[in-house]
Amino acid sequence: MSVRYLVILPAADQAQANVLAKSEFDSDGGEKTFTVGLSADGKEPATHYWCSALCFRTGPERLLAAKALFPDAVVLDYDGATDPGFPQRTIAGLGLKQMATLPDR
Amino acid sequence: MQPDRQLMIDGSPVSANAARWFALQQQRRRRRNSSGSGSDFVVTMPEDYVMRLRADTLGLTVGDPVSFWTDLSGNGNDATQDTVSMQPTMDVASWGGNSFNVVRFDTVDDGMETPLFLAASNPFSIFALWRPTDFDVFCGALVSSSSRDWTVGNLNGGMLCFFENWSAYATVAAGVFYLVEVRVDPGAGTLAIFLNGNAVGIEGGGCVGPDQVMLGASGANGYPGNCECAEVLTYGRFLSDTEAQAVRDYFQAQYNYLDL
Repeated sequence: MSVRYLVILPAADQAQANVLAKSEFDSDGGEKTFTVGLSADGKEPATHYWCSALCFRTGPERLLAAKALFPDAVVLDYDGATDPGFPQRTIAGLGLKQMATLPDR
Repeated sequence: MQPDRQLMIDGSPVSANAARWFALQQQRRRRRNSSGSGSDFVVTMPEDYVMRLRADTLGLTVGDPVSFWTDLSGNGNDATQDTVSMQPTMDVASWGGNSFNVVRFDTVDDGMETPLFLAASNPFSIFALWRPTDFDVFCGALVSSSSRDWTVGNLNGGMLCFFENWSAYATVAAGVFYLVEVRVDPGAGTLAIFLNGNAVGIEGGGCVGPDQVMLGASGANGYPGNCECAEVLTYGRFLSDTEAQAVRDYFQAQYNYLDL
């Protein structure tokens, strides 16, 4: 049994969140958990970072406990297989876009 | 429905439809060979690939995270992902009368790293069977680069190739698998980009290699994979049109991607 969570947090929380991810959730590569950026116009600098993670066993409880340390973080569960559009709808609702460097065609 | 236990192509089970198609192709080639023209010959898929990632070889069940995707080429170019939240997942797709394993890259941060280095100035060829999952994602990257703004992926409901400049764009339909084919010779300025065998490259478009090859959001531009991928075949040279057709034949026989 696993639950997929979407986590979005302000850039100011990035370093602390990556340290916590490494120490509490993912000893192998947790330091890179929040490396994909977001911003209002999709351009640098990133104002937020996000991740989508599968949580097993006690993971959901520990993740929700960790959220208490980051009051501005958004933590939502969803089903990535049946609703892959959930993350995009969520960031759109927050006024955020994925970072992109593409010029006009 | 009975599983197609007896039908094997390239060492793997395939559906009855795929096997019939493959047999028809072989018969057609034999007829051509015996026609006396001497201008046709049997073509087999080139096997000098430098990286071959095939989801059917993953010993996982649906929903399992994929931390390691073995390179079948023998070159050790395995795709890996140590960060748990960035690991794609195993899934099974149904398409063209077949069911086959796919690696599902999410719309946020899933990606993998490979040690494969396709130098920016050297020729290469990439074939991948893939379908985007969310057309609201602005940019998705199935194949990306660790250092360059380089993407084979999708863009708002289309297929995108951007090799430090626009290289190809084509509309795709939701839920449909496509064979994307990229053959590039930067030295000669040759760009051959095909989607299901149809040319979609932009004349004079971006024409460089990726250097280190990544998958999904592990690339320098961080674009999520946003797709399901059944197989990626990569060559360290520019395949000829005839060789490319043989690779398409393989993908058709294996996956019936044209849904015939």
